[in-house]
Amino acid sequence: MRKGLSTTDLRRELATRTTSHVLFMDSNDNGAKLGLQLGLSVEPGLKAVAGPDGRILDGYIVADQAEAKRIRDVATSNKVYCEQYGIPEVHGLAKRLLRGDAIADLNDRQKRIVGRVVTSFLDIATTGMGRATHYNTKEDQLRAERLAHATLFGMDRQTYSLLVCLSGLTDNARKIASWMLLEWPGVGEPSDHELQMEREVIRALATSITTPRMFQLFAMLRESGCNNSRTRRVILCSLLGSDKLPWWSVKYRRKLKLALQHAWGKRMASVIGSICRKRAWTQKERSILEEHVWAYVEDQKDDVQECIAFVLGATKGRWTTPLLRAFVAARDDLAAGRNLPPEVLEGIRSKYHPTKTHDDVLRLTAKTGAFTDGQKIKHQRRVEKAGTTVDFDPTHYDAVKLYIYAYERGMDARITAALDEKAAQAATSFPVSCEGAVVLVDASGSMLGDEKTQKLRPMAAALAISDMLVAGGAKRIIVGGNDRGRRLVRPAGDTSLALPLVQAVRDHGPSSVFVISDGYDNTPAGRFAEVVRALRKVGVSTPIYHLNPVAAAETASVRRLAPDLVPTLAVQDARALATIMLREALEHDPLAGLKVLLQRGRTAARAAISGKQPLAAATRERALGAGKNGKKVEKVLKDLTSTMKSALVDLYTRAPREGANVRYRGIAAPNTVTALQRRGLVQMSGNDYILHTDLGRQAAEQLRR
Amino acid sequence: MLTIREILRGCEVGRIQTVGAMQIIPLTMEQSMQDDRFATPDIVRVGTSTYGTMNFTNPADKPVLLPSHVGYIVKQAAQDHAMSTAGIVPAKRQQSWENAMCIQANQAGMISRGEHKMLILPLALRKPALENRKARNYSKLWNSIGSYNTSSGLGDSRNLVTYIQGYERQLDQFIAEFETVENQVGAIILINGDVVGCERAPSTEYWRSVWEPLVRVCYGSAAIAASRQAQKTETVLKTRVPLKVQDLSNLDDLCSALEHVEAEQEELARRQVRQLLDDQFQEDQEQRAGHARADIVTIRNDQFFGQVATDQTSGQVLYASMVVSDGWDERKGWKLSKRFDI
Repeated sequence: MRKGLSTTDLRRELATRTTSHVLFMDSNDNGAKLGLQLGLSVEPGLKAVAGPDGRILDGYIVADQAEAKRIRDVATSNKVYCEQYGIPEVHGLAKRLLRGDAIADLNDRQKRIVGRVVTSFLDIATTGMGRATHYNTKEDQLRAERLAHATLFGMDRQTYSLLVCLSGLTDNARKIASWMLLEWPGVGEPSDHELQMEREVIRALATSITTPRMFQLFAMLRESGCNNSRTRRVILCSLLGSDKLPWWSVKYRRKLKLALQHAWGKRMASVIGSICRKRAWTQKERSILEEHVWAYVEDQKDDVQECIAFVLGATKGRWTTPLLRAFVAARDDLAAGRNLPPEVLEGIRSKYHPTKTHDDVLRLTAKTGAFTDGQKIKHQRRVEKAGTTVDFDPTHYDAVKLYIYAYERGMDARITAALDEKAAQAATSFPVSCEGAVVLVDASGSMLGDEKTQKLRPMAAALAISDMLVAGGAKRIIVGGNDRGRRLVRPAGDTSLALPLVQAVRDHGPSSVFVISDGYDNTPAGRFAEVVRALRKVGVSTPIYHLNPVAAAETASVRRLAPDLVPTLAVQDARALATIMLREALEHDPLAGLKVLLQRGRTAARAAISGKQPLAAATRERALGAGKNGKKVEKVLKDLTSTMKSALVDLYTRAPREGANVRYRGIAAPNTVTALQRRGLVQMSGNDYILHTDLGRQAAEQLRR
Repeated sequence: MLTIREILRGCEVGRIQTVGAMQIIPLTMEQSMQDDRFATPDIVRVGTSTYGTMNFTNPADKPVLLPSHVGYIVKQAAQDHAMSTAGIVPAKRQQSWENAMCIQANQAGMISRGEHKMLILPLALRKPALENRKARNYSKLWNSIGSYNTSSGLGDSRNLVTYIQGYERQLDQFIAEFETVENQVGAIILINGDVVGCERAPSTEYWRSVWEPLVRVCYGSAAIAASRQAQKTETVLKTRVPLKVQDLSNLDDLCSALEHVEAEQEELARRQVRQLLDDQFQEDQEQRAGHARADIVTIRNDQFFGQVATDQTSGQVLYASMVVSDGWDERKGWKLSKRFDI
């Protein structure tokens, strides 16, 4: 991407190119003005540009928030960025495809680009972990992941929001998706239904990720300064509405505090923290709690208040919540903290009980259920050294985690059984039959993964995926590595897949061949592709698929063994394979393939939303932004005359700050105000003033839309 | 006198790996024959106290063998440096070299002592580095760096970071493309079909610690240059033997053709290596390290120059890093031609 072109340069660029690739980042009007000066028609926001002849010019990508800010800053000085990607911006594409409309405004090239954008996104979203790989640093990986998300998002938001609901996306991808949907405002005029759907998608995404990822998401929102009402709702619902709040309060105290301060604002958080420390409240204090806390809570309100007080800095108090009580009691008696998270108890130990050891902490917590599932599997060796054990149920873990555990601790019958069961389950959802297929598993040295952060993950993923294919009827052949006869093959040596491919086809006559590899052959490079060409020449038409469990930053996707000859599918989780196989359709007919994916995404979104534990009606509506009075709003609005509607909007526009007295004289006639008051849309406060009500606010918002 | 055959005594040859312009012939050795007297060089804490003086602190119980032309590009606002030679740092001690070189002309400041990521100088810079090893002049490599950057299309900056950043993506790919094999202790490196380097480490653990710095910058830079040259002159690289598909009619034919071409590929590279096995080296002792029972020796012949570490008692070669001399391309035709006989 070239930066910092002046207006003169841009004119020159546009004059010499047959198509133009221009972005305007329009947080203010400067970019738009510049576009108009150049004879272009510009839409605000992250938009493509229409050329002088009305054609939509190729669009643009923002890599991440920092990039967007940089562009915004530059746009204010009347310089623009030119960019090479040429992504068409097609808002409403998802809606039109799902409706069955013909998409006539995209040419073939643009359709292919659409297909590539979606495949690139799926590749990254099903494999990108946000960590270093054998090849790339963590920073490279994060940049590539965010670029893939931003590209699809910029192309069509609704497409993005449906595809992120597909099964098999990594936790990291769902976290980034939650952030993008909350951070960036919608464009155009979405319908109420679309708005509702997106709210539910956001909530489903935000509550489906692991706790550490959830706090990472809140930190991302805080760092990017995203504090719109949806974001606040998601944060507060996720935190206050969870039965894990006491646990989080002791384990993630600081992160919880930062998240609450971000959602409420520091001042209000301080007020709420003070109120929560008290046992009795004034009417005003009660209203504040109603508004900001209890609206998100189903029950256990005492616990919630105590947790808020604890997190926001209360150091003294007689806690009734068991975990908070234990936290305080453990300072005097370490054993009193046996139900606390081990790391929290370890912190208390090191500060208050220096003569005790870490092993004492492990012995106290190992048997009480204080270990999370992740800790149980991660700390087996350490716990054993401490002279105790912690049981874990292998069926609680995904196959990749189990393999990584087995590499470290050894395989046993329970783990083998769990792996077989998971493979069989995953095989039932696979869209094609594997009977008669062969799967070649690359066990070369690079399948070890990054030593520090992803050790053995590629090999574990490869084995888990091949298990699923074997459960579906395929035959597995391990290529390279050591201990090949055993289930836990040790990756080692170079990558030589060409001859095994030919031998597999010759000896087994398979119905299809799956090659699971991180994507580079080096004995020599390119031999695999040569062999595939040769196979086709001798009349072998066996379908061959390359499954790659490692995302690579330099390709913004995954590495390909034989570009244009063998489809490469990025997949790290066997459960994602069904989604990934459907991605194949994008290569042949991008829009048809995208439609299938959107349909699956919509089904997955509905399933995710309906599968969530139902909140109390008021909490759910609040969480989804429909307000406590969603249905009531609609009913009351039907009853209003146009004069009342107009007055209502005016009354809520003139003094939007909550709790303020609004002088209605001069805004609305007294009898109109009375009529509104009768319907609960305002509250009288003295002769000339009214107070806003929740119902009234919701109704006014709806009217303004 | 040392020859390559002697230097690589005890090593076995592994399957050749070929990606683009670069080929690696792995050298392996049974664990029982490897030498573990040295700790790996990635554990040292390195800093500079004056321009041209590098200080190394070795926290390990064993001496550390610093590979030849090891360099450090640090994130600090400090002048990056590289060593002119290999060196041995005693166990639990500190050692300094005052003949080190600055590789970043436009940056002032001393490197604070710490664990910094290693690189090995690009192959084209190793000769001027070695030739000037005795000079105590921190700027002795600047002109060479400037010329190198110019020839790489990056302007005449006398800052090696310019090169590293300019070709970062390509350099990183080399790490991915070549895999270490079991018991590997070294490699013979070919660029565009010609041997350009020969590396040997005392142990597999040592080899794994230096492989990335070697393949990424030292040899990766040469591969990039060869690829650029091939593109410019539109010549085909000599590294691959293509699979001949014209006469194939069935899978058995294909299997045979594949086995045949792979054997041909291996033989092509090995022939190159055989030609240089018996050329003798002149030796020039650099450092005697009684605490490690090892010496550092600079070696040179018509084709190669470099450094080795040898056992003081047996003369066994523990470490070797040799690269091809300038102008060998022009000389080799005559040097490798058949001797007259009648």
